[in-house]
Amino acid sequence: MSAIVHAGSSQFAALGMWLSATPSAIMLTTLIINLRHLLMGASVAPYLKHLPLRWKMLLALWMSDESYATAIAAYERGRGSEWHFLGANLCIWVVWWPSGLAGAVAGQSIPDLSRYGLEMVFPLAFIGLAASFFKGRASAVAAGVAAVAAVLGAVWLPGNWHIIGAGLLGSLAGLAAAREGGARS
Amino acid sequence: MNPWAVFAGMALATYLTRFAMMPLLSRELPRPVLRYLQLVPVAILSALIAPAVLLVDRRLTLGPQIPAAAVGVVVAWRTRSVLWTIFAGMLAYWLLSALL
Repeated sequence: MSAIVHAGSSQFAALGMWLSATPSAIMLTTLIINLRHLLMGASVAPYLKHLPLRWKMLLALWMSDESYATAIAAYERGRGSEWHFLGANLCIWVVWWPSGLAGAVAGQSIPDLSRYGLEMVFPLAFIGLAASFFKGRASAVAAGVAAVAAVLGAVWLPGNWHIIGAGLLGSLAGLAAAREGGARS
Repeated sequence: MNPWAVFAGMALATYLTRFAMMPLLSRELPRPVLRYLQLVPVAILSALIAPAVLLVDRRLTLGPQIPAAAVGVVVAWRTRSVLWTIFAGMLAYWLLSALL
């Protein structure tokens, strides 16, 4: 599943639903969880518009939250390229499913993994990546609004709607802040 | 149903969301739209980070992960380095968990 689906949060959801849900419900959930990639795809698209369709199909195949973030960070610093993006995608994939397999084999013999707090690595890596996108007040407003909206959304909304919702809301708020700042200066 | 068929359906659903926007947006975009799209990464990342730090099983949960994430934010802001951020944040997390 890790090798061909390659989408962490929907894989976890599928595992949780595996015995109780119908296949179509699992596929629909996968679609909804991954809707945030629509927004991510839209934001890299301007950097990819000179590429032929084959390249875009290839890049979309392995795009993940992490490789998207490193690739677009590189583009914004003027160092990005389709090869960088593809490399980031492949790095994740090459590690993703073999480590899933290793975890499945070794997991039974390691007691209480949660003790090591390794789940902290994921938000910390994203915090580090987010720092490279910070440019002025608009991004601070976007991040702040998205954070609050995502937390509220995660508590009160089902599924993963809070991520795409907070992403849209936060970037709109950032745009409004940029407009206002631009008008004043 | 064959699990591989379910995997294939999930793979298709994933691929559709990733690919859909790329060719649609291949022409020149007006400036406000570009400006908006530039703010998307930071908003999305923030929307992924905040619940991961503040919530456990979708409930607000206080614990060492919050100050550890704060350490991560400071280090990220100072160094702009992902590796230093993970390193400092994990160190803070382990120290705080040991103390509490």
